Amino acid sequence: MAKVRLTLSVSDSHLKKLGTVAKAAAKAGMKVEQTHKTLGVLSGSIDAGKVEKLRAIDGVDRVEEERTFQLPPPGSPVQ
Amino acid sequence: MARRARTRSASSNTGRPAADPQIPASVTGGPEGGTTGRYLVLFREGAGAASIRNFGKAAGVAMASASDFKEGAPELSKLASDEGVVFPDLGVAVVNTPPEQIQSVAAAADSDILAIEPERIVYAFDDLPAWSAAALQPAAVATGVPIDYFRGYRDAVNHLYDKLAGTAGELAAEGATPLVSETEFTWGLQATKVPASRFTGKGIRVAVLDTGFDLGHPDFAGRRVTSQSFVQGQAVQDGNGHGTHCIGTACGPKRPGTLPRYGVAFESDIFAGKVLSNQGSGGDAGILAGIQWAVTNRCAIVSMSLGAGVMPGQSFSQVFEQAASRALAAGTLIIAAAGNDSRRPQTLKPVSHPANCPSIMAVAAIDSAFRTAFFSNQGINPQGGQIDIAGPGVDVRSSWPRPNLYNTISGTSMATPHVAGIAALWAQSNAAFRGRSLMSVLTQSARRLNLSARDVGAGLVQAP
Repeated sequence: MAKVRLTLSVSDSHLKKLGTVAKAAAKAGMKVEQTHKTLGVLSGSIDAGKVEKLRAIDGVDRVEEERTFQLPPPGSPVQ
Repeated sequence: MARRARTRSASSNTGRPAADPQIPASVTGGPEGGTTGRYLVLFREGAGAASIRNFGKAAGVAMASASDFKEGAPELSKLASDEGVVFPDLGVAVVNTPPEQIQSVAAAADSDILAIEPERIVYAFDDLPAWSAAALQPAAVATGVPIDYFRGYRDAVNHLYDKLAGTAGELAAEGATPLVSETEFTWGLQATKVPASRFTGKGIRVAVLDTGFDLGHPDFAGRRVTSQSFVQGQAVQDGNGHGTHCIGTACGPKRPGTLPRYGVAFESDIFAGKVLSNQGSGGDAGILAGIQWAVTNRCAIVSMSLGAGVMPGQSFSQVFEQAASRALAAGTLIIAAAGNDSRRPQTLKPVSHPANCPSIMAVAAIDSAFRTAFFSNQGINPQGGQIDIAGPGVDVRSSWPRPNLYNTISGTSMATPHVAGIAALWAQSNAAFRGRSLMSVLTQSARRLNLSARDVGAGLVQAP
């Protein structure tokens, strides 16, 4: 199944329990690559079909597919 | 009000400057288009009523005080040729006297006259919104004087001040790009008042999340640089140029190898986070990792000259909003580029992700004529999608990886590190300026521009 890269934020009530949320996310099938304590954010990847499972986890506030950024080539007059 | 205060401080010394008052050439001529035939005489700060009366005597003018007119404004149109009216609070007199007569008095060695200028005809704005006209009403009722009358004098006094301070014409007329000399400082530093600032960014950590940094650039030899790459398989060393340019603007040196000076916070601590590859690409995860790194390292400012386009009506990222809000609470302000997707005047695009988050400052770009850059995105989307502030973003010179060393490019990417560097100066000026209060002071101190807030927010960022 196709993997999607995503970022996930926890609600304020779970800011101090980010590790617990990360464990639950891993159990739901997410490969948690990064855990950002102050920001209350996890990032990683998961099978596209399992994204909804993450939204159901206690303390998960938002789940967003990762956006990508692309600068113009270095020679462009507008950067 | 601010102008009055500045006038006061500029001439608070008791000694009298030896220079003659500035008398424009037009004083010697008669009434011209746009002037009334009367003259405004500006007295030095502290010139007392006696001094102004003496001027009247010497010039052969009978001076009345505006404060004597209880029932309304003095009727200037009925002033005889040997009469004048003094506005004591303004330090201004209006006279109906031939200019040669005033000039001879003004030229006397002990004259208290700072300037003489033809009184201009001032027209009321005809597009004042209803609430504004209503707000002005009480003042008019209280004094029994039409408010337009005072507005005319405010404008005239401001004009005089600008003339004396040498700033007249700084806000150039639309259509003309003034030739700003960049011998010593880039136009961007000049426009944001960086050269005059006594702050340096010392002790303030500034994170620039971009394509990395040329760690061997000679302009940064001896600087404290902390760096980390969040791009898999690539070192911090900038193989693109974009990051080195942005760091140069925010944190570049006071004395670069080659003038002009292009950097703002020259004593700040540089945190170079590589979140975009040498090919200029990156993703949310790397950027969030960079933000966390900056927060962990207690950086007061994060500069992000990056963005992804959004559609009109599209809402901001809740993940980034929460992250930015928590960063603010931890004392880290994120400043991001509004994006370069517009092609004015035909095409206007909304502020990009993540600058469209309410807790992230969105920076627009202006040029040296104080016009919105043709590419600069607009505050089209509600709820955080506004422009917060503008910075210099057209023809911006800054550092570039060796062997070039310097490059001049344009973009909201270039405007953003101007705001970030100046944020470091504000942060240094007062330890209370962190997080949301740092955001507030930046917008409150911005120079208002004659442009829509949808395009430039509060205006052009200004150094403390």
